[in-house]
Amino acid sequence: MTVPVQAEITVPAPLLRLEDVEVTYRRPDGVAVRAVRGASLDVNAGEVVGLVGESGCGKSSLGRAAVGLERLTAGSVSFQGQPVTALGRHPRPAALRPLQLLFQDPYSSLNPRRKVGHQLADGLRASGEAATRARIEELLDLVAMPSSAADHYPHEFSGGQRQRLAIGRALAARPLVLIADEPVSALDASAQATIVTLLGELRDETGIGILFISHDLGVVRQIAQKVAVMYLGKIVESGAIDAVWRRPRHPYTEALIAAAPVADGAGRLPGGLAGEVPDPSAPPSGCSFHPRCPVAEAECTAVDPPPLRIDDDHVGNDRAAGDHVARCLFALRPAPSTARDTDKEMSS
Amino acid sequence: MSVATPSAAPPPAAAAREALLEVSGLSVTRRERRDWVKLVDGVDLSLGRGEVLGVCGESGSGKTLTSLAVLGLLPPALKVTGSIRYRGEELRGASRRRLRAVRGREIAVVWQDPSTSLHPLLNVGTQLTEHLRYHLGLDGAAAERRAIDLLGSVRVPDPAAALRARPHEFSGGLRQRIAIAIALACEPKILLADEPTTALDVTVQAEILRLLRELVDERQVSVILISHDLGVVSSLADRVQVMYAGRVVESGRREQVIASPRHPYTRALLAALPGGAGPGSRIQAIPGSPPLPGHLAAGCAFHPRCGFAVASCTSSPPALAPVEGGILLACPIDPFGPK
Repeated sequence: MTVPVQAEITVPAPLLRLEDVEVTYRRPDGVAVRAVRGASLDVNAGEVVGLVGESGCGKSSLGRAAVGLERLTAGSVSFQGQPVTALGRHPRPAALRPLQLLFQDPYSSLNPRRKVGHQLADGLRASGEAATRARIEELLDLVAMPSSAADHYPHEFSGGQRQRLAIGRALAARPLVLIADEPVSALDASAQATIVTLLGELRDETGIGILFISHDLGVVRQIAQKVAVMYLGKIVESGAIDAVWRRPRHPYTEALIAAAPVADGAGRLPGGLAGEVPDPSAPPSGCSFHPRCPVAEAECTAVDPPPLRIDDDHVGNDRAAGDHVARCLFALRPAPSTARDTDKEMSS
Repeated sequence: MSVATPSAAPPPAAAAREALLEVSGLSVTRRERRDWVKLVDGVDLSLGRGEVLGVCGESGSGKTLTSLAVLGLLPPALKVTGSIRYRGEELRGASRRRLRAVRGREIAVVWQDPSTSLHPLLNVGTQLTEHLRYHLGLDGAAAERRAIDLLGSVRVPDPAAALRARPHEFSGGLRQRIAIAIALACEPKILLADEPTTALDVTVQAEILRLLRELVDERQVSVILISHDLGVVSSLADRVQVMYAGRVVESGRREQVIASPRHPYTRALLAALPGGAGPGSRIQAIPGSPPLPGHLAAGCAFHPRCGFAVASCTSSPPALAPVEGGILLACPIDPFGPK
């Protein structure tokens, strides 16, 4: 995923391809902030790709770049072979309609003053379709909401239901790829489960591709086939989710896995990760993660680790397993950590 | 930790017995046209010294209302009944003056979202020393010294500079640390933490949970930890209370309630978490949605979403009754009880 792969003849071109994307913002004081520092990522049909990292790691900027909401300073985004360029003030080209964005907060992404049915109708008309009652009910049905929901206002629904309605509105455009930016972070645990299950079903039933952006690797593991872990604007590890989860090769990925609390009643505190994502306008030298890294050595402060391809022990015929890549100088060290030894069953 | 607790802490074993906060039969009702709608219905809660009580449930289960009622912060339109005793003193119906003295000084709160709970225009020092002046009567210089100690104790880097900064200059995690420092300013006996990590990254959440553990261990502060996430509760709480539709449906020691839950709702909440129903398990959503107050199903409010409901579940709301292992359970069917 991260390393430009020589086109394999058998694999069809991905629906959405991000290549060496860079996004730079200018702060009010004129300092350039490189939010995304060269990230590559593919989303194929029927595939959920998780994009994981802490706040400030650039994952939302990358997601916005993927739909043309950010101007790229380098690299390219293409959707179905067509370039995706920053929209500016122009209307969205029809060719990009099947590329839709789903926002984090269903409280602010729906219009509070319009009935749900009208908002779904807007989505249908905007994609050049007749807004019939039957089609609106079909959309509601897709997101497991009763057809009576069309006659109500967003405030009459819970957070989880509102997020389902927001998904319904995105589906009005018959998307092929959905960019979901933290779609479950504002929801409680059971509503999270509902949305994750729903997105998984949509993938299975409609063959949609989803870029699922989240800070929670545990949630991503429930839905994604592939994962890309981002730190300070770069993808530091990527690969098939099971391979990455079973044996993370980047200490940052390991820390993200260990930080998730486990509901086992044992009273164990989750593993901490000291410090914060550094100021992206002045990234640390060498490996950006070295100031927080528990296993950093002297050379990590000097060398920016290149992507290393990891040869996982293949389990089954996992086509994606060969794509496990990590940007850590020690990624190829044999059996380094015991991070997930406690639950080997996870891999089954 | 650089700020010492003046009172000598009793050993934790003895501490658990001394009930600091004793809530019984707490109900919150709202007038709706001609009816009174129950939002919280007969909640009992007790908190010992140095103890962490986890309160868990979906949005709308009454967790936050319960804590607001304890603090006397509910609007007058909501009627509170029952008893709220803090160290033997009845707080329900206490004067506003008395409640102001208790809040912040004895019982302090950490809210969910540090970007809204901190004042955006006042610098951190002003917000932190306000408490110290009001409750402890410290003068400017003494308050500032103490504020620097407090920020250091929650590991905010460069505390002296932080005092002069405004909240937006900090990350979400640091803001929550500052909010915790403000809550701790007057060395309260009870910290009420309402979803303190929900707005944060998992890594930051882990750090905040570790900080709270440290505060409990070193200062013997008692914590009511409100969270929708049984994983968060599992890592910190000694006892767990699960709420549904304004009632407690299961309560007991953490290792029992979370490792071998008895109520179908507790099971369902766990199954909704990644890995919650055992390693490698797929998350399962709870069918349906939590009911709205005033629209509860007859009998057990959970029965429409429960896979184990039988005809008798629709008759009357089950009472919370002790079962073996010191668990209190509001489910007469008890499908997960010993065979």
